[in-house]
Amino acid sequence: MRLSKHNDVFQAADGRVKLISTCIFVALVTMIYSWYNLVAVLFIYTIELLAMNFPIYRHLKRLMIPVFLVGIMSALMGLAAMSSGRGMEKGIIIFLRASCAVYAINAAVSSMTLPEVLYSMKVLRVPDILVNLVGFTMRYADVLSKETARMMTARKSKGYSPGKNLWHFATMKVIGQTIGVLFLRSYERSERIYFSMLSRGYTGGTMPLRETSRIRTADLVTGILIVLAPAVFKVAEMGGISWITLLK
Amino acid sequence: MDYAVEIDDLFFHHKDGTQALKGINLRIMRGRRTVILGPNGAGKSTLLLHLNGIYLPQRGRVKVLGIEVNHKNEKKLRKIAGLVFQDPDDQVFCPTVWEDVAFGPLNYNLPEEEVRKRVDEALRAVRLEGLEQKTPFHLSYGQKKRVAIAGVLALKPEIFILDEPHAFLDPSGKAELLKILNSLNDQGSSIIVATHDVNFAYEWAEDVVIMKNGIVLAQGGPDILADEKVIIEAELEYPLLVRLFKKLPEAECDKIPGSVDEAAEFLRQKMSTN
Repeated sequence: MRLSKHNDVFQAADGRVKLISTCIFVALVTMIYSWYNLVAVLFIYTIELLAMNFPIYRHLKRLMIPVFLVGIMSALMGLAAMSSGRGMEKGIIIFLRASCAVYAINAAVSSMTLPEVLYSMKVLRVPDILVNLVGFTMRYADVLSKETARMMTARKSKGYSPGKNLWHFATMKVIGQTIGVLFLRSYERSERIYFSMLSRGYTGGTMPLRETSRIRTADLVTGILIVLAPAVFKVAEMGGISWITLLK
Repeated sequence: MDYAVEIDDLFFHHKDGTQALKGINLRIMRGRRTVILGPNGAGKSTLLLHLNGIYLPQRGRVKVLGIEVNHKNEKKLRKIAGLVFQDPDDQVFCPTVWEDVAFGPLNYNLPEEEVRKRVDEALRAVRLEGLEQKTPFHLSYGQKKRVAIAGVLALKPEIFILDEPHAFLDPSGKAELLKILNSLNDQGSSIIVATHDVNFAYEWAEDVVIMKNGIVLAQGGPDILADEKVIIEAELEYPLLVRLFKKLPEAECDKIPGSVDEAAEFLRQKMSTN
């Protein structure tokens, strides 16, 4: 999960601070209205990450699929707003906002291990059900991917080879069957997992034991840096910069 | 008599209508190594889930260390009878080895110091020290199995119940598991293992229970596995040692040896006298 890098200041920062400041970052970018301010936020945030020695290139590689999906959704929403005459601009703004959010969340999450993410969520009083959902999703994504790989190996051993395009009926049928079987197997497995949890006294939620580390000044500085760019541009949009000029 | 488990006339059917248990009557002695043998679909796993209070009797009565299995006692029972599932991927679900082993003690709201002590002890017992912060799903199958056992050990149950513990384990994994089970039994714990491995049952168990189609076919010492009628009826096979000595009537063996060591000693004596 974590993109580790030697001397990565961003990674070393406290998980709780990173999660809170990333949430504030996301909230602020959703309130920015101009596309050039959003581009500027993206640019400044990237510079900050680079300054903190974060492995930015691997991070960008990971973002390709989510940003592609965000692009499709934004294009659809832009098309829906065409009648207003500003569909294109709205689509771009939605795309930039969503991209900023995905960019920041992914940077924060990929700078932490799964236990760190879950622990930070717990400490921040995120409801148990959500924390458990995140934990189990990560845990069983691995189990399911291995299950899929086993099924594909079994198919190959019986002479199956996937077709080369989306219109290959036999391949689509096999993919459909694989997804169906995965659902069934997941259902059965989820029951067995639940039984095993019950057998160890599970009744709803547990608090992982960990040393509670103190938040350092460096952590706070990292948190401020995360929210700085969107905060400045939001204040500027609200006319805050001109107030400051008037005060002078 | 001091019983770990007492079962009278137990019936159970699954949601899909399958009648898994059809009137089980069984007594398992405390502090013993008991193996429940039977082919697939005999009802072994369903029976084990009753001993831990996961399944409650639909008809009949189950007592574990004198405590009746019912809705009121189920949480208490889960601390008394620790259950290790067949597939560790079903049982090991926390993000780190340490947290997975601590999962049970934390559910019982034990003090932090006690939780840490128990987790350390359990990890030491299964020889997994140093892997505390590892992500369980990156471990080998044998290591995951040991994490699952450590998770149960940390609850300090008096009875250890293991469902097909040898499944998918390599020989060294099996030997490692055997050592853990023997050491637990030496400390006074009752061990109940469900399996269809007749060789393991014959050499390791003190008591053997044979099940088929939801009923108990036979119960006794490991020597019942040399009984032709029982083996045929249960659709099992003779253990290797029994097969060997049944093929060697000229060895004039009154009682088939219970282990490879005993068999070797017996044959050595025979050869030296001839």
